[in-house]
Amino acid sequence: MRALTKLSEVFKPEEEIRVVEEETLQIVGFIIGEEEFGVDIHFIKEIIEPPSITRVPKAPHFVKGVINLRGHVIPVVDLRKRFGLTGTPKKVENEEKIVVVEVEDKTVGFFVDAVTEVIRFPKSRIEPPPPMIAGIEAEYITGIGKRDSNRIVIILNVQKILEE
Amino acid sequence: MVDMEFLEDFIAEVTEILENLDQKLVELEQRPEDLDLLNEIFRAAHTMKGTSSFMGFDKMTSVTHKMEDILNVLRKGEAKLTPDVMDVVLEAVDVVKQLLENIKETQTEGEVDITDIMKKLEDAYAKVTGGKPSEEATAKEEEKGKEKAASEDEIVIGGARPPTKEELEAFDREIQEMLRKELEKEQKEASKDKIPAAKVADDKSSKKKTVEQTIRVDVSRLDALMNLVGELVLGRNRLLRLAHQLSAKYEGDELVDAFRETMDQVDLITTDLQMAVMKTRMVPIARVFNRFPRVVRDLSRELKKEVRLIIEGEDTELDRSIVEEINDPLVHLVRNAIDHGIELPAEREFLGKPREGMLRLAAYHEGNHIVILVEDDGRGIDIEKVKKKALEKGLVTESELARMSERDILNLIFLPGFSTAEKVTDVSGRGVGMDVVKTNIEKLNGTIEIKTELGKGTKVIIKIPLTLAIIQALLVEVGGEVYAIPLVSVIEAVKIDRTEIQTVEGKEIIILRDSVLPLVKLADVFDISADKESEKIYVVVIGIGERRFGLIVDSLIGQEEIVIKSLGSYLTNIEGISGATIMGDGRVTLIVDVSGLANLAMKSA
Repeated sequence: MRALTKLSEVFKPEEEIRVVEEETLQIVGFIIGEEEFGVDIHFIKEIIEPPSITRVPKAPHFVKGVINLRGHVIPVVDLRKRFGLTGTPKKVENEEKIVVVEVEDKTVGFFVDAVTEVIRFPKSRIEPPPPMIAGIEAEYITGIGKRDSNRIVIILNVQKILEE
Repeated sequence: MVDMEFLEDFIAEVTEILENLDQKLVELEQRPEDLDLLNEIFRAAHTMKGTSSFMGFDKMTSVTHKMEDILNVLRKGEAKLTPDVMDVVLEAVDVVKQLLENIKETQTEGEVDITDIMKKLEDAYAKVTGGKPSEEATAKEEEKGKEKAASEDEIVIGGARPPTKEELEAFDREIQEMLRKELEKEQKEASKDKIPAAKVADDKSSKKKTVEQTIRVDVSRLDALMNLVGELVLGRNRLLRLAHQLSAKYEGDELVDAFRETMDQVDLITTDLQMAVMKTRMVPIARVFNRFPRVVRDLSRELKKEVRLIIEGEDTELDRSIVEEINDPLVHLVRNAIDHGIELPAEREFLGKPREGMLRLAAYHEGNHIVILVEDDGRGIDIEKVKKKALEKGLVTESELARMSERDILNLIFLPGFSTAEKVTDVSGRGVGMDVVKTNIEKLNGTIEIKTELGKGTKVIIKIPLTLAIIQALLVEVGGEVYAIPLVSVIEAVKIDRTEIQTVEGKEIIILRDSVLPLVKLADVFDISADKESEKIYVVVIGIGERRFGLIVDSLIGQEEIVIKSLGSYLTNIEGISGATIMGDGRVTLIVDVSGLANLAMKSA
């Protein structure tokens, strides 16, 4: 009997794997100014070198313009301007990228200073956001991920940002 | 209780029935003895009752059941159809439409209260059966319920005491079985009926056959197809140019000749493909026109006018996206025609006109456009009154009026702020004015024009281009930025000296061939820093309807066929920009929305 129950415990591998997946988020990190931000990898369509950006007159000030993404015209948002971030652009020109995110039918590119890496965060290491951090209100942030060595990643709520 | 698997089919079926029902009912009113028509309508109500019951949509079942009862009496010849009864039936159709809308959105019938329409239907039923309203009707049903009716379809749970849950469930199942059998029977009968029916014209029955040979396709797939074909067309254009250049350069080279030949073939095929894909999105304008017998009927009753509706060219096809947009403007124009155009019957007789006013809706293809006419033989538009109103409303000055042609004056009607009375209630309950009609037409890159003759009538002419996605454009450059202007709005482009610009009443203009052309600086409207102050500038003369103005740009790049790309849902409604296109080098160029530009220019001036 005991052996059998032990076997049945062992024979739950599917369940276990599922559980592990739910507990980890994969976040793509990028730098704007002095902060590191992140977006859940599920929303990332691709990351590209910035092509020539066409300015759109009369667009909101944080819209840098539009670009051609394989035959589709998509807008590029300067998150620095969108959230009024004050961090000085600590950039090396060549590192700028556009992180293309897609939520339902909306596709938008975020213009960032640099992309860092894909970080796996177990859910336990993600804390709810304070009312405001780095000048951004909590509604636009899904959580704060604690990296090793005291670095934090501000995980953005893409759905909310793209809502307007 | 809703079975998802059947929901889509249910919605499609009921939608189709409803689309035709209005028209048939109005026809019935004009030919109340038409037995075929009566039977068709009866079957429609019967089918809706059956399927809605099957799906568990009780409200729709109740309403359509009562409709069916009334129609049954009528088709048996036991009563005559009066306008009052027709009103109730039409109102019931509206309720069913409302229920269907709710079902489409929420999969439930929603909060619609049907007690009012049920009472009206019962009263109407009583009228056609000559009995006392309401009480008798339910008494009759109760009796039948007790018998557990073997007779067709009069199954109602009634009787002395409220039924138990088990009884209801058992009953439910029985009904569903019977209904399903009935449905099958009906469908078989219906397909047999189609051929012998004497009145049915050839194309009507073939239309029914083609309906059964359709596939439902997601519109987004067709859009994707259009997109790809658009890109293919541009690629083909570039290849053709290269092929021509090559054969000019290497005249007589076998390889180049073979290439050129193949290119010509691909050219033909691509053109055919483009046409074919466009056709997949085309639907006959009958979709829209068919709603109008009902609209006209309701309006004429409401306004106490007698109107004969003539519909021509309902087979004319147009892109489905236009079809949706064109409905509201047409409703408004029709209302105008009946309300302000056509006179009261007594007045018409006095004027020697036939009592019945004529309203004509026509559509036909002209070149690359579809032309839609709304014509009436009413009292026409009094130009003097238009002038007076425009002056009163401060829309125009005396001096401007003096310089205007008759066409220009008529176009004042389209200015926002001109219309007054039309705002209140039109059939759809939305307040609109002629300016909104014009804006909607212009959104489709179309034009609208009014022709009128005092005492004789008015004709409104709408022209809409057929190809939405690919257009000819004029590329211009301002301050280093490139913009595309739809060629259809460009009348001409001229090169002038900066000194030719004059200022009148604070606005810049030039004199072009003896007429005044107001000027707009694209750099100003689009906040472009134009550092060049060259002596020679280019003016692109833009025409929207009857309005003309000149757009100042730095240089003209050339003419090109471009594919319109949407700016996406994030960047909707940028005034002055209607979309974007991707150039040969992969860069994005913005397409100017000329009417939006004109509005912007007026604001900044």
